[in-house]
Amino acid sequence: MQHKLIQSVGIAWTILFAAFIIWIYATEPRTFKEVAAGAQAVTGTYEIDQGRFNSALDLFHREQFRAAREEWVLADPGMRDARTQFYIAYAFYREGFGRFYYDKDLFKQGLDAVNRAIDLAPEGTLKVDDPDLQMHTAAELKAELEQGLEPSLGDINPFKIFRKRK
Amino acid sequence: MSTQHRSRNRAILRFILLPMIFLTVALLGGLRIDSETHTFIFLPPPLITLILSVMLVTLCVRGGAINLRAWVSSDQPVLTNVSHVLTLITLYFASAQAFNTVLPE
Repeated sequence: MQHKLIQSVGIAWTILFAAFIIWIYATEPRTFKEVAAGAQAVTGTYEIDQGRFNSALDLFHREQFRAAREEWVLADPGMRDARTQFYIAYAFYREGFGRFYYDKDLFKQGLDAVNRAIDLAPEGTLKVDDPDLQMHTAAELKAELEQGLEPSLGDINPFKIFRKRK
Repeated sequence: MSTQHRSRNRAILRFILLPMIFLTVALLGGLRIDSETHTFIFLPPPLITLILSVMLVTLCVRGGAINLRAWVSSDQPVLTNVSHVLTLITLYFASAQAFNTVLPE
């Protein structure tokens, strides 16, 4: 009887540990924080730090984009919240926007963030109702970022300086 | 009484500890730490390590280090067979990850 119990515990424990290893290699967390956040997401207990999110939003509205992004990264360490990733992408967009040229590095990072947001959003559709933003969906933001990364004849158009940041 | 203890300890070693050791090797074998950012990098076992692992396990069986008939047999209870098969699978992946650790990237 005791042997059977030990065997059953051994089998269950082996399967659980193996599943954990597969999950670790599939998600590739980079830090222990990400491991913890990922585990919370799997168990459905993951929540962003709402206080940090709000302070980041405040910084974003004051055009402190870099500081806002850092706060959002701390608010969502596991990069599991679609809305936070959308705002991070938007911060990259606004910081990278220039009348004469776009900062391609920032736009690339913005594109990565908005892709994460789309992946995380239910059915890939994300809408954010924020009156401060001119683009309310992840698809619009993605298109804008992609447009900024693609070289075109429009880049040499001098009237480009009159374009407006969204 | 001591025979009972011995039997229980052997069962714990064989059915719990042994797969744990192999799975720990499987987990850590592909783990690297980035020297600059100190972040984890997980490298899944490449195909060559899986092939080498097949060869190693085959070698162990052919060499007699693993007596397959003693591990998996119709005379044994199902639970024992399942446990042994799982241990052999963990051994296979531990070997693959051990190769993954020593192979240059």
